[in-house]
Order: sequence, then structure tokens, then C-alpha cells
Amino acid sequence: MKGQIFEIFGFLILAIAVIGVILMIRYFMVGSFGKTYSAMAERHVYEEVHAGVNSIFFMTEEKSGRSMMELVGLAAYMGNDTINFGPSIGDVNVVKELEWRLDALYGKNHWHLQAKYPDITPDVQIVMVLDASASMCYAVKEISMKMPALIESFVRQGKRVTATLYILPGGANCCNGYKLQCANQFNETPYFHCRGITDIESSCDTKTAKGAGIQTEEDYGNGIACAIEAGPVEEWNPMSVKLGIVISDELPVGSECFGNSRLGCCPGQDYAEQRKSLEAGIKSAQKSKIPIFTIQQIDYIDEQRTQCGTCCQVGSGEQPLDLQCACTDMVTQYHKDMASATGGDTFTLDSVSASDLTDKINQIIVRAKPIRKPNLEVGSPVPLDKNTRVVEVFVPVTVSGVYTKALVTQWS
Amino acid sequence: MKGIAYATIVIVALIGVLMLSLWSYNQLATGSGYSFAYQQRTKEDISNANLEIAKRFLTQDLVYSSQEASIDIAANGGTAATTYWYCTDPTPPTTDEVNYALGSSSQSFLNAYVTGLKESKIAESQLSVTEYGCAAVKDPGKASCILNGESCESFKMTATQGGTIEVKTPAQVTYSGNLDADINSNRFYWLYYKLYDDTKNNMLMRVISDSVRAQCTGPQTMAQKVEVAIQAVCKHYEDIFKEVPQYVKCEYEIKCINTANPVSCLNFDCKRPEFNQQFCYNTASAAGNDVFGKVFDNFGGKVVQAQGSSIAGVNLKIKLTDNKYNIPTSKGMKPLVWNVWAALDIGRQECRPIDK
Repeated sequence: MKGQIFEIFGFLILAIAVIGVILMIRYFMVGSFGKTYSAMAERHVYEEVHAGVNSIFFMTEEKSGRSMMELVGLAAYMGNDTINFGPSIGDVNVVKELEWRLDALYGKNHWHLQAKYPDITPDVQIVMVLDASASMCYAVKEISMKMPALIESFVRQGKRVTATLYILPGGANCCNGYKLQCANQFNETPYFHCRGITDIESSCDTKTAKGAGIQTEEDYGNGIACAIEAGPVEEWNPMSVKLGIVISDELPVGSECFGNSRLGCCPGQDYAEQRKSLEAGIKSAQKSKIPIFTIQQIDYIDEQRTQCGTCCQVGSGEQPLDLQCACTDMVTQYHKDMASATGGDTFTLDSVSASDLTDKINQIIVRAKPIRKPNLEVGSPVPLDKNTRVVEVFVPVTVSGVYTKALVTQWS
Repeated sequence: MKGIAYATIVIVALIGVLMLSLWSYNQLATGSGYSFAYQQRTKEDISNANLEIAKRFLTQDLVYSSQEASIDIAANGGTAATTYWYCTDPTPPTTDEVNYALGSSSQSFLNAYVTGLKESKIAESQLSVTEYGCAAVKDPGKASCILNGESCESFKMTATQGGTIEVKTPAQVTYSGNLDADINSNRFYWLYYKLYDDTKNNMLMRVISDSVRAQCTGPQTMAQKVEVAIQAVCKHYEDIFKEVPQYVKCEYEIKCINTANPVSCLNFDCKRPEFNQQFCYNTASAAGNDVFGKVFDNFGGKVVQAQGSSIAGVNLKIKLTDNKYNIPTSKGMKPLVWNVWAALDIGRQECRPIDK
């Protein structure tokens, strides 16, 4: 009897063990199934989001006949929400087109789209205006010797920089053997050009109220306005970073006290013509959204001597000595006004080292940044406390071979 | 006996439980098999979805490439380099020349996108695409463009011979096929066919001759008279693209003009070598274009020859800007610009008889 009871218990324990093992296996399998089902459910939701994004990007915008992928690529590249397809089609607002589509698909405040500006170095285009009074002889020599090579060095590094130097009217002979004009002094390259400002004066709309146009060899206010209007030799590229550079040591139009027998700066005097010229330059730069960088030439003429008031023989007589020095502070103020009003900066040459002027220009080019929105962003900010799904789409832009990435984030 | 009966009951129960467990295990195993298959399928679905996106952006690449190429080729005057439509005589680019240039340029741009994709860190781990060996243009044809401008505002581009797309993760899928794209809102061929037809009739020289003749007794210098004639040419070009509102604007740039020594402006080689390039596809690019080309090749007596001695040599660039549509390019949204270069030897004209 005892043996039978042990036997039954033995079978019972065996049965419980087998059932336990089976239940364990089933538990893990069911657990695994639970996870699988959970993953499948999430997968379905993600696929829904993914399919939605695909359908949005494959859609054609009715007005322009362009795919949404194309519109997103264009808006991201151009840094503009609105794209103008010409008078026949008009403007297409990409943000609005995305908004109503994605709202309909995922619901308002449940999505966010971001397409970054593609990873490309934008072209830099520079128009420079050089004061052509005799005190700028130092600058013309330096620019002639160094500027083409500086521009080439950027190009060799893969940054496409082009510069057009416009020299104000004058053409005086310098004691260093140079002339304040372009002819025969500048090596034209595909990236660097020199032109007399009078060459473009007819094509720019900078006539003063008197209709005098660019008035003097120092009229860099009207000069830069003209240069901006006419553009560089290769014409403005709408996608480039555009810069204006002014190099002078006097007030625009000149520091002389007009109508006053005294030569030299006239502190406290109302420099009406100078202010008008300055404002013409500022207005043109603001209209075209081009920052102006000013380089204030140090106040000496003879590079062999560094103190103010030195001079060399120019043309038929000596240049006035005190003019540039006496007006230094006022010139600095004018330069600051021009730079701050246009988003640029001021530089003052602080040595006669051969590379000082080109160093300053180099700094300006290195610091050049595009004035544009860095991303195309649409939708609500992505919440940090919610489960989000992100779909990534490669979007080509109009620069051959370049893509950007659009990230669409969705949450419940 | 009683013990044996209990043992039997337990054994039977155990066997029953085992059978039940085996059955349920079998059921579960079948389910997990489906689950495995499903997961595999999901990977393929993701790859297929990525493949569809790749096909989509490659098609977009083709659209951009064709648009950029159309801007470049039109700016060159119809071929890959500066194209003289008048090299003393009319020498407009034939349809084959234009289609070949547009196709080749589009192919280059498209393959730059393919290369860009290879070099892109964001794409290299996920997919690869081989370069395309051919991009073929199908233009709307002369009939569509001359008779009805509305139906000549687009053309088709096909990329073939390559373009195998391989998506590597999460599952490997490949696709090999052609890309087709409609290039809309682009009047490249409308301007081309109209200009071609105009040049076929040597209209530029006719307009210049008429204008110079009309100014016969004027006090202006010959150079001034020729410039007035060139202004009349611009007016003529705007007239052949007349529409409301007027979208096509004409400008000109006189590269050289010499009345004392006309040859000095014409002393360069403006003739293109005969077109003998092989298309990368077999069939002709556009219906009717061959016939059109042959008609043009036989000018018959249409060319206006200089009457008497030469009065001026002119090297001229005429710029026709179509402002109807802005086309997406690497330099932003740009209108299409067709440049027509002309090297002209203008002959002396008989004065009109004075009306009494």
C-alpha cells in the first residue's frame, strides 16, 4: 500500500513537473507573442506614418504642377517658404501646402517637418568700391598685388569666391608707380575683376537729387549703391552670399569743407552732401539685403613714413596734408553708420604691412554667412514627453548631386 | 489493485495533458512561424518603401537635371557651346543637335546626383544606385510648337541603361528600370521651333536689310543705321512670340561692329562641324524632327545675299527671355533665356524710290 502511494505520488510529481515545464514554455512563448504583437502594432502605426509621408511627398501641388518633394527641396535650398514660379503661376507657399496636407493626415498639432539647408558651401560674391583719391595709392598697390591671389586661394579650398573691384573716378598717378584706375594694373581672372565705376554708372539707378550721379573720387556712398545695383561682372547669383566692401579714408564725397576756404575737416559742420551719399549707399544695401563692410585706410600717403600728414608728389602739386588726419573720427563714425545699418562691420587698417589690407578682406570673406533661414520648419514643436515616430526622406535640391534630409515627426 | 487503478488514472491524465500540450504547442509553433514570416515580410516592406522613395527622388533628380540642362543649352543657343544661328548664312542648330545636347547635359547632371548619393554619408549605408548610360529627350515636335504654343510648354525625358537601385537594409531588394519625367512649365521647345522657323526664312537678315534700306537717306552713320536695324530685329523677335501678356522680351548685345572693315568682326570660325553624333538610344527623338531638318537643309533661294558690297560686319548676341515661368535651377528660380548669336555681313542696300 505504501509502495503504491509512493508510486502515485511519483507519477503525480512527474505530471506536475511536465505540466509546469509546458506551462513555462507556453508562458514564454505567449510573452514573446505579446511582444511581437506589440511590435507589430507599433509597426503598423509607423507604416501608416511612413505611407502618409510618402503620399505627401508624391503629391502634386495643383497650382505649380510640381511634386511636394520638389517644393520641399526648393524651399529648403532657397531658405524661403514662398517660391515664385513666374507671373503665369505666381507664388506657391510651401509651408501652407504642407500644413493643410499634414493636418488632414495626422491631425493638427500632431506632426513636425524639418528640412535642413543642404550641406553645401554657398558662393560668395563681393563688390568692392575703392576711393580713388591720391591718399589711396597704397591701397591700389596692395589690392593689385594681393587680391587676385587671395580670391584664388579661397577657390582652391573649394569656396567659390568672386570679387569685382569698382574704382571711383579719378585715375591719379601715384608715387609708387601705380595709377588709381584698373587698366593694366590688375590681373583679371575668372574670379577677380576690376572696373571703373563710370563703366556701370549708366546701368545703375543712383542719380542724386541733383542728377549728378557719382560726384567725386571719394563718393563711395553713391558708388557702393551703384555697384550693388549693377552687380558684379558675373551678375548677382540669387543663391550666393553677397558682400559690399568700401575702402576709403575720407567721408563719402570727400572730407573737404565745401564753400569754406579752409582745407581740412570741419567738425560740427553739416556735411549734407556726404550724408546724402552715405544714405544712398545704405538704402541700396538695405534694399538688396547686402551687408557693407568698411575698411578705413590709415591716414598717410607715403608708405615709407607712418606719421600722419606725410605726402608724396601727386600730379602737379602736393596733396593737402591735414585733411585725412583731421577727419579720422568723423570718417570712423560714417563707416560705423554704414556698417551697422546694413548688418556689416568696420575695419581700420592698423599697419602698413603688406598684407594688412588683404588680411582685413580675408577676415570679411571668412566670416561671410548666408542671410537665410537655416531650415524649412513646419508644424508644432516636437513634445519631449510623448512617443514619437520619425520618418526620414532624402530630398534632392537643384544643385546637381546634392541632397538634403526631411524629417517628419508624428505623435498621437 | 486499487493502487494500480490510481496509477492508471494518473498516467491517462498525464498522457491527456501531454497531448493537449502538444496540440497547443503545435498551434503556438504555427503562430510563431507566421510571426517569423511576418517579421521577415516587414523588413522587405521597409526596404520596398525605401526603394519607392529612391525611385521617386531619382525621378526628381531627372527633373532637376533636365531643367538645369534646358537653361544651359538655351543660354548656349541650342548646343553645348556658343551656337551661331547666323554665320553669315543661317546656321541654326538642327533638332537632332538640340536634342542631343539637351540629353547629354541632362545625363551629366543626373549622374552627378547619382555620384552625390554615393558620396553622401546619409545614403551610403542604405542604398546604392548605378549611373545612367543614356538620357533621351522626347520633344513635343514642330507641329505642337508652331501651331499651338499651349501644347508646347513641356517635354519628356527618359533615363535608361543603368540606374540599378539596391536597398541594402533592413532587407536587400533591387530594382532596375528606366526613369521617366515630364518637364512642365518650360517653353524650351516653343522658343526653339519658333526661332528655327524664323531662321529658316532668314528673317533676321531680311529685317536688317529692310531697316537699313528704310534709313537710306538718313543723316546717321552706317553704324547707327545698323544699330537701329538691330533694334528692329529685337522688335521682330518679340513679335514672333507675341501673346497677351507679352512674356518674351528681347535684348541685344553688339559684340563687334565695323563699317570700315567689316571682315574684322567676322574673322573667326562660327561654323559648327557637321552633326554626326550617335544618339544613345535607337529611335529618333521626336516625331517629325528629321523631316523638319531636311526641309531646312535645302534653303533654295531663300537666303538674302548682300546686295553689292558689304557695309558692315556685326557680331551680335540676341537674348530672348521668356518670363512666363521661373524654372528651378542651382542659381534659384530663373526664367528661360535663349541666346541667339549672329555673325552678319550686311550688304549695301538699294534705296527705295522716292514717292512723288
